[in-house]
Amino acid sequence: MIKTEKLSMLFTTEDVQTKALNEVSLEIKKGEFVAIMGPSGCGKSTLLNILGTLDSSTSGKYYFEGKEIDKMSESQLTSFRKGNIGFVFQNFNLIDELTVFENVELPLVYLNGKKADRKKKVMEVLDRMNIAHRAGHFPQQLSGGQQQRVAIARAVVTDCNLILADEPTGNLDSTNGVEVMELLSELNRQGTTIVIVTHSQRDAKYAHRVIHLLDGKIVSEDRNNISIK
Amino acid sequence: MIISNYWNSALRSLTKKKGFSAINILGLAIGMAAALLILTYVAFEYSYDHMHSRADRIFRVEARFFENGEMTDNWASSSAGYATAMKRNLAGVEDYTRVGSQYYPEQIVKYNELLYRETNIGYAEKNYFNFFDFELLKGDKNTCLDGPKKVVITERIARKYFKGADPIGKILIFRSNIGEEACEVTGIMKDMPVNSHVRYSMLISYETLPKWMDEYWYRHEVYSYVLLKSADMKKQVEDAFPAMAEKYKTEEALKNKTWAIQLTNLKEIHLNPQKAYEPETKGNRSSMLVLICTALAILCIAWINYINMTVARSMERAKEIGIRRASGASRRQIVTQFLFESLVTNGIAFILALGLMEALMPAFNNLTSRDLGFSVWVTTSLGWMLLLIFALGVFLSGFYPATILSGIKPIKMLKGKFTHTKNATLTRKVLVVLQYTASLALLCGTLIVYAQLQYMRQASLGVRVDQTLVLKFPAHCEDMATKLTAMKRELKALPSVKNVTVSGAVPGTEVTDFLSIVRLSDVTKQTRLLEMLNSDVYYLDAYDLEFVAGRGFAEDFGGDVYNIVLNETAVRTLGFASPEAALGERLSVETVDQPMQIIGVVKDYHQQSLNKGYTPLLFALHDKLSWMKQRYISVVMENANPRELVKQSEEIWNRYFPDSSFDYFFLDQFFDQQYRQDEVFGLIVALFAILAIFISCMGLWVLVMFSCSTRVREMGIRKVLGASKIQLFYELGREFFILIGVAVVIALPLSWWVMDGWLDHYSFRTDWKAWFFLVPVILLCVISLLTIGWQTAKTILSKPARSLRYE
Repeated sequence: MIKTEKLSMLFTTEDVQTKALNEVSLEIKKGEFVAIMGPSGCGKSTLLNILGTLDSSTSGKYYFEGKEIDKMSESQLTSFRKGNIGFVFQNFNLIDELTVFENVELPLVYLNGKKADRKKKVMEVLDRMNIAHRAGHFPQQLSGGQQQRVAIARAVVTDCNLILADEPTGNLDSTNGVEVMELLSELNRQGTTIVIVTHSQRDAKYAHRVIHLLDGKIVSEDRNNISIK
Repeated sequence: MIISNYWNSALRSLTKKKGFSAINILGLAIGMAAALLILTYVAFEYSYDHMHSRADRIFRVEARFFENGEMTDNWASSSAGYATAMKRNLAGVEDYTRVGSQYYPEQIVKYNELLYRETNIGYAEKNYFNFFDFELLKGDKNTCLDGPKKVVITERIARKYFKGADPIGKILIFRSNIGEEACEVTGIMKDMPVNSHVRYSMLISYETLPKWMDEYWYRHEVYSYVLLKSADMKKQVEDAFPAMAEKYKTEEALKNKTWAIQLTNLKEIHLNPQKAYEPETKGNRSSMLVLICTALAILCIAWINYINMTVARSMERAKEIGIRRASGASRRQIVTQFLFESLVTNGIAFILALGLMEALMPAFNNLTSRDLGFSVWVTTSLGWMLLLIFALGVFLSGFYPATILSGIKPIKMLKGKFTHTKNATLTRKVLVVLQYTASLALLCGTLIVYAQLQYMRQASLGVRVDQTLVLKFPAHCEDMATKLTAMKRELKALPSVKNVTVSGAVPGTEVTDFLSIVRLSDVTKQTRLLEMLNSDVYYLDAYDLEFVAGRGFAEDFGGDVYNIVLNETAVRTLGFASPEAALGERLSVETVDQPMQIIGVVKDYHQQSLNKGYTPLLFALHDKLSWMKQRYISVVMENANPRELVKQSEEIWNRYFPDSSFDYFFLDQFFDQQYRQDEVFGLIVALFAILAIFISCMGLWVLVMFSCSTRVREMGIRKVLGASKIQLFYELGREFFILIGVAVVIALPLSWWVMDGWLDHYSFRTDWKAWFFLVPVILLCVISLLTIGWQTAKTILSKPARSLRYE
């Protein structure tokens, strides 16, 4: 599903050049659950952002289902993302001014879905995430765990094929953290490809495969004994 | 100590964000400079005739006639007999002075070889320099105008004729249509100030005028000023006048009218509505009000910018304030600090504004033909008013942000969890709406002024003013009539000349001769005072006046001297059923020995600019009205080179009238000059409308910038979720477009209302057109769209991952 060849990323500020990624090549198959681990600043999030087309690499190649992503324009990327990729962030990234329902609905709005269909779909997903009773609340009125469930609901509401999660449990206590990981795992079992970035060994255990990054390079890869559906 | 702390804090805050501070201060400075300039101009207009120490008690006597309780005539002048009779009969009148300035105000003045046509010549009474405070530089103010054939001239005239030599005792020759007068220079006065409603260049002694004029009641050709014992006696004197006037109504003419006066205080003359026979082009009080509103609007826009920018930035400064609060600063101290910063910023802006104003003043003076300077601030109460406005501005623009910031709990600010309260957001929105409303209203106003000007210029005048060279009439000389006829013939013989005509007025000038007229067939013998334009037989033809009935004067008819032509309004005024019905009717005309017969009616045309309505107008040949002034010789050209024609005309002129200066103008340009004041007003409003929009946009720029910066993360999220650029732009700009929408709803009816009042001053006004309102709205939307687009582009186009990293 995903294939990268020698992806590199340079950050240039006034006087320093930082190599966030250094010729990273990897392949992720459909239905896989992959965890990316490594110390702070090793380039995990950068890699995830590039995989999610939120950022583009300085050099190297990136294929998504055989299509070359680097060649796409910004607006092509926007329409490519829509419905294909869902994102989950450490800090949830919910819009404070919108209700839970509206936050989850947003990707469908941008897909130009019909209002009635949207409502049905959103309520269905919220129900699945066990947060439907909070639909009319604002994000600030929810606990961290609830907020992350909303964020996941928003990620999956479009029935996307790939979910990219950047430290999804980073801001949660262990109980909520486990809950979120179980949710992601369940989604994976239903066929969604998942890539997470994490510091947590516990979270990594949910993945089929763990990629270790150091100073922008893949240094090793472990396989957990979980079969891919 | 604490002040120096505030000072440092203010300076650092200013220098920390240089771009932001520059926009802030520049906006304020431009706004202030514009407002100061306008207010200085307005104060100057209001300062007219304030230089006379007794101005409060001095009133101009303005003649008014009533018929059956309705005012039929309203003039700025009066006849010579009014003032003397008032002094004799009315208790409130302490003193008076008269100036005969309708009596040949334009004459040819000769000194040795020098020969110039001078305007603004008046015949002033001997107490003139005691009555008014005009400064006499040389000569005795008690005697300089005592006795006939004396003249007091201004410094400028002294330089012009005497080039540094002492003019006192020298003789100047004055030539007019009726003859020649040699006057001795007995005094030199300072040039009359620009803000005086009269600006004479030469004052000849009153006793030079014919003796019969002194007590005469039937020629309203002087300006009379009375000094009342107290200003509140004005009404009493006005009311007593008509009864007193009865015993002076010795002649048949105007017997049926009530002769009344209006006493206008000296200080009020300039801004009161223009009447017939005014010595100056007056100011316009409603224009002044529009300008004051414009100035205040611009100031408000600038200060609102400051407030909005300061409040928007307060997010950044929240931490500093939090620390200050946590370190023990009271709310009051925080407020004081912000007020101090406001004072510093406004102070810097004010100094810049003064510089800007100084730089713009010459151009502005040139535009308005005024003599503005900073001195106006001192000589009027404007200085104090400005100080007050400035203090108020400093206070309001500093106080509001201060209360917003100081009202938030310190811990919130320290934790950075501080967002603007609902109230603050609402206030900001209201302020933005105000700014937009003001800008829009100014823009609409500009377009309407412009449209009215265009309308007046392009409207069909009903009279031809192009292709006409007008020569001013020569001074009286021997064999005048023969020479004039010969010159006319020679001019007409020029290949490029189509027609030549002599007349008492040309289009664009006031017809200043009024005669009382009675319809012979009218049994009630009602007299009416109507404008009489004297001319030769060629006038109606030369100016292409359209006949609706009858015919004009003709050379070959010979006997047209007792015939008369009317315009349509005169037909109605005299009570004829139709133009055709008027033909053949006879009128008794004051000073004409036989009744005159109506032979033709011309369509109404615009004798003067379109500010003025149609007036009843009579045309008669000069022959039987020979006492009336002939003022102009119009040369109608055809395929002529104007320059060449002027040269040829001058050659011919010099052969016949070597003792008169050759002065000319082209009629179309002359006619257009009537719109000069409207044009200036339009230009000022336009300039300041552009400024207002510019400053508003500066404010919008910064607001959108802040709005974008606080919503970077949100935009990132939306982008991640698939929002397109247009959707993001809409999301960022929506709030501002709603505000613009609200402003449109307020501004359009407001400007309609204000400008409808302004247009009411014109007898002929443009119709309302949709584009007066559409263009400003579209323009403002486009400018705002560009501003918002430019600002949001950065947020919209950046990679979403970077926006999310913003936290």
